[in-house]
Amino acid sequence: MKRRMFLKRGLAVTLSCVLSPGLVLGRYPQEAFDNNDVMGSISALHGSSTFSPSTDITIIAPRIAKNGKVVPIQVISNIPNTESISLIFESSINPFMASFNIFGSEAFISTRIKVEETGSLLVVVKAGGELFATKQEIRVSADNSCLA
Amino acid sequence: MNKSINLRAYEKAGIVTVKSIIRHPMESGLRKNNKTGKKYPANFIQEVIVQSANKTVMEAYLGGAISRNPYFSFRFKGKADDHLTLSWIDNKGRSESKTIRIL
Repeated sequence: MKRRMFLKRGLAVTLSCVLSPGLVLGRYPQEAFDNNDVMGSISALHGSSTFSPSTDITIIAPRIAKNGKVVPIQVISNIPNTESISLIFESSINPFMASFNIFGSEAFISTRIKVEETGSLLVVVKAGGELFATKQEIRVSADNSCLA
Repeated sequence: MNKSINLRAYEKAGIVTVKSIIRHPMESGLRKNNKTGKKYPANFIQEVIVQSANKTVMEAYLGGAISRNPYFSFRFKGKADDHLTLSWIDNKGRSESKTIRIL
């Protein structure tokens, strides 16, 4: 009986050690997500809100979103040494949507976002310590808003 | 344990393409229940980390503005047969991870 319990507990302890993911916490940019201002959230994340417009960033997104709950977007950055790609939607209550850190590889991100109302998707790319940005308007009708 | 994550990765000419769907409600905390007038409590994934060959290849910080059952695709320089691990953690502290082999 004791041996059974010992084995069971030992197994549970070993499993929990193996299965717990090696997540690094504490770097979540809470201030950027809480900020209601576009420039404020950019500076909360990157420490500066001055960016230069760039034509080397491609946004593939629908001009008119059929369903504001699911808007597929793709971002490709051709700027060398791209470190991070941030998605900001200018008309949202909380404009800051997401930030992707990229480690010395292809700067390509594809995901699906929610859109409340017509506005511009601003993509900020950090490369070599500098910020670059480009934007595209996405139209959505009130019936198709993600809050509807 | 690993039921929420769908993960695929394949290599072509030194570039690995990763595609994943995580089953998660991604409730932003802003949406109202029309019957009760109360807001649905926030419940969304905050961090997604993808590691391969002992290196982090992609790190994402998300808000509630990412669609339900979030889909992500990205590319990185890697090779076939390496392991790839995707982990997520949400604002309620729940987390999950899944490891696959790159095809």
